[in-house]
Amino acid sequence: MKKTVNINLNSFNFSIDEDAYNVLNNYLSQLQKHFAPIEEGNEIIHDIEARIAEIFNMKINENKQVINISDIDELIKILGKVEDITGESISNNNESEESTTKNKKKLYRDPDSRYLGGVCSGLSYYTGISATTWRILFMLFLFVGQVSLIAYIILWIAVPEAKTTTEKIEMKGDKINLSNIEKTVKQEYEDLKNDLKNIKYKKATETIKNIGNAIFSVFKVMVKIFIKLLGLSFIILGAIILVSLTVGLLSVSNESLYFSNDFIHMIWLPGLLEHITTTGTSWLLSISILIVFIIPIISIIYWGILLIFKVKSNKYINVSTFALWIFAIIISVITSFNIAASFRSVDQTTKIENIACDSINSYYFTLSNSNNESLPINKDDIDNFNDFHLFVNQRMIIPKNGNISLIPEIEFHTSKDSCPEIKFIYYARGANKNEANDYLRTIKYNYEISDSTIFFDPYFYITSEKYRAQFLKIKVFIPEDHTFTIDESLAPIIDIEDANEKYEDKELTDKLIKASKSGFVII
Amino acid sequence: MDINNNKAQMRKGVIEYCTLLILSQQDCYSNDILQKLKKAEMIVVEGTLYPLLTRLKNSELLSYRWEESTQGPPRKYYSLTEKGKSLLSELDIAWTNLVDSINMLKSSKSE
Repeated sequence: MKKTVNINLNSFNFSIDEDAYNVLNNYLSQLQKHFAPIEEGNEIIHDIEARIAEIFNMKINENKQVINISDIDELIKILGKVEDITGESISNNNESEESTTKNKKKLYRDPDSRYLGGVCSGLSYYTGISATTWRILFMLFLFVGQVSLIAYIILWIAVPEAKTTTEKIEMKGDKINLSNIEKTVKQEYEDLKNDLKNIKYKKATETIKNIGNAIFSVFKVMVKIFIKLLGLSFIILGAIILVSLTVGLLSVSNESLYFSNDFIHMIWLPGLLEHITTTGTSWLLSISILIVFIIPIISIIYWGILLIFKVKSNKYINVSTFALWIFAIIISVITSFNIAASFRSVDQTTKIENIACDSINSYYFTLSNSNNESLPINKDDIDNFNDFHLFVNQRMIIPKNGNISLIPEIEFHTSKDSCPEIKFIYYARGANKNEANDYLRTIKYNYEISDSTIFFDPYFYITSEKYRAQFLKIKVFIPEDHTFTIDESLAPIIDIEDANEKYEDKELTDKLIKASKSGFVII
Repeated sequence: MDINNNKAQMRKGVIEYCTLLILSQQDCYSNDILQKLKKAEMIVVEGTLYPLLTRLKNSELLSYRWEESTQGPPRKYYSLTEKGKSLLSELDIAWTNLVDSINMLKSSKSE
């Protein structure tokens, strides 16, 4: 069942399907809009309506009483599309309008001589540079960060295809080349000069109007130039961001990224995220983050193209792109919250190690040399970056084959006890207290105390697959009047609680230090 | 240059002449003009005729009268005015000259 509408065309009554009515109504109102300003435009519309009535009358018989959408399609085929009617009548109608249509070149995709979407062919009409040159340019830039591929796809989507004759004429219209731009600018300048000249001969009231006109035309030219420049800078900006991102991402596997003083090697986001969440979630988050970043970049290029080529933006593309972007943001936020939830609770435990001091009152702290895996601490120690998923200078390392390893923090304090003691404080997080406690047990740290020498491993490692902010703080308490030496190898990880803050940490290594009431003193 | 575009421009140039020619033989109602133009392949879509007729009327080259029809409401019958007739004879000469010029160019080419 379909709803029909009754219409009156040239004193004939027709029943017409609602969808067909909408198309017809749109067709007629577009024609009306076009012919309204023309002398006796209403008469033209009336004649056309009369003809439509005739055509409808031929369609109607006893078995078919309602006009449907295919009748309308056929009708438009007979009468011609709005562009065909208005296009021809404009160029026939009056001379001044003809010259404006001639200048009105528009960028269209050329359906007649195309390889892919007809973008290059369309551009060749628009710019006067041959289609082959454009194709070669696009191919060349394909190797520089795929900019041209993205630009091509954007143009394919944004630029309409030249379908009607009028559109094809517009596509081929006056080409924009240097001499034409010069012509346009000269024309505008001449107009402006005339406007200014006329001011002298006109009455006072008209003068104001003319000055207004002159200012307006100067303003118009400036706005036009500004819009083109804006569009161009949009495209350049977008291309630069895109190129630097792709180049950056491609080269990062062999080189490095610097964040402040830390050194981070190779961020393969999904691989990195897998250390804190499930594979599925890590991919979901990575892809949505990618979308969140890439859409604005592509949009910048898209808007630049729209501005330069005066192409109207496509509402559906805008809306769906924006929707996708918002969706990606929402997904990123939700998954991030999910991940954060598994870090919600924190737990800690302390283990105390006493050092016998019956006959000794001087100690030596050094880096363990039994470090079998010999994980590098400094970036300079690294031979092959490809052995690691992640390397943060003096902080964290994720080898390709091995456990996540982190460098503990070692603090030195003075104490009033008779013998030194070492406190190992373990921290870990989890979704709840129990889970955090489970993760505490995954921290493994090796150290060795032999007589007065204490060996610390550079890294503690975690046996769990997932990282839950496990951390180890080592606090060494030295009794007053005892002395000790910190080997230089521990420099990257020590932190000395110096009561009077007389020394920098670096100054204290490889020296004999005495604990006193007022803090540490170098002897 | 596009060939179709060229053809369309040529057709557009003589469409007014064709319309006047049809009306010089006999007064017509718009549909008759349409059918004749279509048969002669001078017009592709009908919609372009109506602005053309109105424009010719506004230039006082043709006029119309309402005539009762057996099949429906009254119809507009177009006829040539004196001005239209004199323009037509001028166009006739222009056309003949044009054809002569083309023929001359063609024959000189073959020589």
